[in-house]
Amino acid sequence: MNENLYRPRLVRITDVVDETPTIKTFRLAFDDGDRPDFKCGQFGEFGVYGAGEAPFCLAAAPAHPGLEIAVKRVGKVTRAIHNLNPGDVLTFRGPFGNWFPYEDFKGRKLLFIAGGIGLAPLRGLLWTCLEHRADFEAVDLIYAAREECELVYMREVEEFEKRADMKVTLALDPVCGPDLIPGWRGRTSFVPPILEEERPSPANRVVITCGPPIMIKLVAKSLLNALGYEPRQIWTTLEMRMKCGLGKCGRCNIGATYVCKDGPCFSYDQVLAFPQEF
Amino acid sequence: MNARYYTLRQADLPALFDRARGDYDVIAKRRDANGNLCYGPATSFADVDFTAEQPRLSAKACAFPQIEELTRYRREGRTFTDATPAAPARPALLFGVNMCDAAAFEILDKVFSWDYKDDPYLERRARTTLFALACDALQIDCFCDRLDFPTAAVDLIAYRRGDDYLVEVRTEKGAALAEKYAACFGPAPAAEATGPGATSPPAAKKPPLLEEARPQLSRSFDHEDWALLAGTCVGCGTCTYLCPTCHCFDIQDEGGPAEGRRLRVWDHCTGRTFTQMPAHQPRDRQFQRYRQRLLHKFWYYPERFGPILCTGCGRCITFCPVKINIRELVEYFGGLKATPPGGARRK
Repeated sequence: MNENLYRPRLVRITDVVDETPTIKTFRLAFDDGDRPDFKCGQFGEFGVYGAGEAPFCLAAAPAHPGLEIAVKRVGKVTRAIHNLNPGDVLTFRGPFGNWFPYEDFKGRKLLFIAGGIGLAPLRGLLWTCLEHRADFEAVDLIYAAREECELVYMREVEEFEKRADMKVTLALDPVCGPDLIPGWRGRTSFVPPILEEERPSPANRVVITCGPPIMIKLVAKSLLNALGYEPRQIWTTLEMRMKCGLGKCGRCNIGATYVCKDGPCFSYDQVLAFPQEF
Repeated sequence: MNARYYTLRQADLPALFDRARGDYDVIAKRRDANGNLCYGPATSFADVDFTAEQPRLSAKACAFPQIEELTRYRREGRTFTDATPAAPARPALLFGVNMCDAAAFEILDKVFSWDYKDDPYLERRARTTLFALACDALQIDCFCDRLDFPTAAVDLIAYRRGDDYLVEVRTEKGAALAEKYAACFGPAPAAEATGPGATSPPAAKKPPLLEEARPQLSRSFDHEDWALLAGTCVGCGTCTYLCPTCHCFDIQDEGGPAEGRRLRVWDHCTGRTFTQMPAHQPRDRQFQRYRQRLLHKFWYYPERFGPILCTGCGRCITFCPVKINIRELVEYFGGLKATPPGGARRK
């Protein structure tokens, strides 16, 4: 028999970055330097002994050394992770799940649409595409959040905004009107009105989106109904409670699909075929 | 292998039990301190209930314990040492297990061995020999006569023949046991030397089998009656804990930052927290959680792995505190019956 798949490896925290009041980036490295290979879109089970483990997307490009995760403080496991410092260790199992079809994206116009911490699951792919920018006709980003303090990786987003070969649109929810967010340089709008106003043509384009389920659903609806996209031109990555990551524990099922094995990356024609509970 | 048949005399059962104890950890039905019939380690044949009476809990814990240690950790400065527990060394014999509980293992093998191999389950499973005792008749709420569950992985099956038993040996594991204790196994009567006779239980299957409900079930997700008929579920999880095929689990840590254990524990899809995420709950209402359990068993699992995730033991019906009857709901939502349980609603 093999090594017990539930026994984690230990991975050491090398750096902690405060992204927002509740979100931290953890940069991680293995003491023996033997980081497993992974692909853009995969995830891992990270945890703290004594608190438990939870799934987090691998938020850095595979070509970069080490691992990165973005952790929002919401419960027992994430609170325990937030309490750790550089030099402490996390438990790690993975990488798990499928990945975005990067090779199929080459030569296309890519539009990334992220909501809040939903930028993290797309970030590895986004950076990989930008590092091979010539392989793509366009790499653009719409990045939205409810409030300014929920935008993550803003250091990098500011770099993106300076690039001539990338169009970046920032947006906050229009709950209080633009006048009431001092110094805000972006839009105040939900994402669908931006899409329907700017009308990025479906010709040769792929939209890759991640965020709250309601945002994913409304973005897809807008692209499909108002802009004439085909479902398979839209890719997303789904968040479910993936406990084992191995297609055993039954927690992430949507119909006969194991999100942790068959996903988390899905084209929207797959999503539309699911029983609609996600 | 081709099945082989033997006679096992009632008088030889205690000797078979005692000899098996020398080679196996023997698990059998016996009464616990409260008088409840349950599977557990048996040390004396006098304690063993070698009848077809259904125990409260299924036998799945033999390969899938309710609480199972995955790793044991201890803090060393800023890092940890951890170790996985050694697999049990001795083989195990499930002695007189009910057919519905024995058949469940073959169904569970599918999910625990597809793609990633679930070593904790598979190691326990590989060491276990299933010696089943066929029922003479249906009990309380069971409905195995309405299902065609697989039995190829049940190693030996004993059929009652008067005071004695006709034993069908179906696998290499079963043959190894029959050879090891050959003195207890006599030749089968000539009439049954190549197979159980016409009167042999388990009872003949009665159509329509619940397998036939799947095409209609796979179109039932948005049926308006789910909320009414499954909405009475209280999410207690009793059905899933008693079920021989329910296998959803959680992984939890027990202990503190200094030392402790990472555990796999049974969990249940009918509970509110099962899919609860910080900002999202895909199954917000109770009927959606019960619908998940039913459709997982009768649509999703067979679509993915082949067999229905049910052996018709009926425990979930007997012990449901709000009397939800899964068989009747499968029949209704699967289009095998036109009227819902309890009769049609007035429009």
